[in-house]
Amino acid sequence: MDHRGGIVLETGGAYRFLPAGVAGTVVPTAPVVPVPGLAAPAVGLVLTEDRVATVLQVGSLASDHMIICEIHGGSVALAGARVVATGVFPASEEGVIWDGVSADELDVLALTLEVEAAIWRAGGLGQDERHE
Amino acid sequence: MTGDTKRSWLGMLKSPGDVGEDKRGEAEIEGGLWKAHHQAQEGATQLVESSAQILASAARQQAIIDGITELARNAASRGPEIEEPLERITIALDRLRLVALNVGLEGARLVDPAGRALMNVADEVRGHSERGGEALQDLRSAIEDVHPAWEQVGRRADELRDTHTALVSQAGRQQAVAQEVVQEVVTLGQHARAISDTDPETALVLAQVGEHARGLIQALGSLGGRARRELVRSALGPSLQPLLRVLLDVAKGAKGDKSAE
Repeated sequence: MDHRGGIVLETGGAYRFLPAGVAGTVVPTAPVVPVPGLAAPAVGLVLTEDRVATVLQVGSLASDHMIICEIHGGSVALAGARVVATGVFPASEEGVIWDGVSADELDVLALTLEVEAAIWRAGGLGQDERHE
Repeated sequence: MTGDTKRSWLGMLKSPGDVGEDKRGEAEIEGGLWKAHHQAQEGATQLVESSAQILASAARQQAIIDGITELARNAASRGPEIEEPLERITIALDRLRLVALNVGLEGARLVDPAGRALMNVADEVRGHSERGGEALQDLRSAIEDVHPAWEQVGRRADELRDTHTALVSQAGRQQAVAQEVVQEVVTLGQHARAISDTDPETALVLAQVGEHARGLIQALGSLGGRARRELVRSALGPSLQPLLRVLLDVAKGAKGDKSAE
């Protein structure tokens, strides 16, 4: 059976797997600064460990920590999730099996692209409105 | 005060009888009166002393109650002082747990066996930090339970102090009343002395002599009937002869006094 290293997150009703290659560090939750124009799941910016990261809301839990990931040279902080396990877990089709439960992989890159697309869409909509 | 008044006052106290018995009864009444006066004076004086001792004990008790109140207030006010280090420990354990998560994450990035060792350490540290956090939460709950208890001790100590103040006030009043009683007994003695012929100390001595004499007569009377009289006489003779001589001397002295008058 294949194994994959990383962390298992509880997001409130579901478990998600974050590969070790994507997850950077786990840091204490810092105050989120809301930024006008950001689109969900991005909720603002956070300053942590001398870095500014875009905060992505990936769950509904009130957690005391965030997971910092490096994506395309930029930092994102995953909020609303709690790390329940770190290590190497049996791989499944969608992610890993942890404690007998399936934890689907959390695609942070896709989330980032989704945010960027939403921002662009909002910008384009604004231009259309100005043309009118 | 006239002699008639004295006689009428004593007449109210004594029982009727012949003249000899009247005099004896009068002496007994006066003796009883002064004895009662003496006892009342002693009792009132003891009451004053006892009240003073109660007040002294109350003062010591007041100091102890003040100490208890102060201790309870200090204990109750230390809640925030205890809370602060607990909060620091909580933060430290949280950080330790995050460190363990990061170590575990680092172990997941590495290949075996180095990664496995790191993950094992991370699991161990995270387990300890989580158990420490639970124990800390239990400790915090216990302190939160104890804190209101200390506040209640403080409130009860305040109530105790109020009650104690009332008690001291009552003891003070009791002492004042006892002192008044002493004064009244002294005044009563002065009035009694004014209307009585006999010196109080003499009356007391006479009353005691009367009591002893009655006791002796009663004891001799209970020794037996006529048949045993000879036996009793022979047994008591050595003791009675000196006593009879003393009694004769007393009787002669009394006769001499009368003839001198």
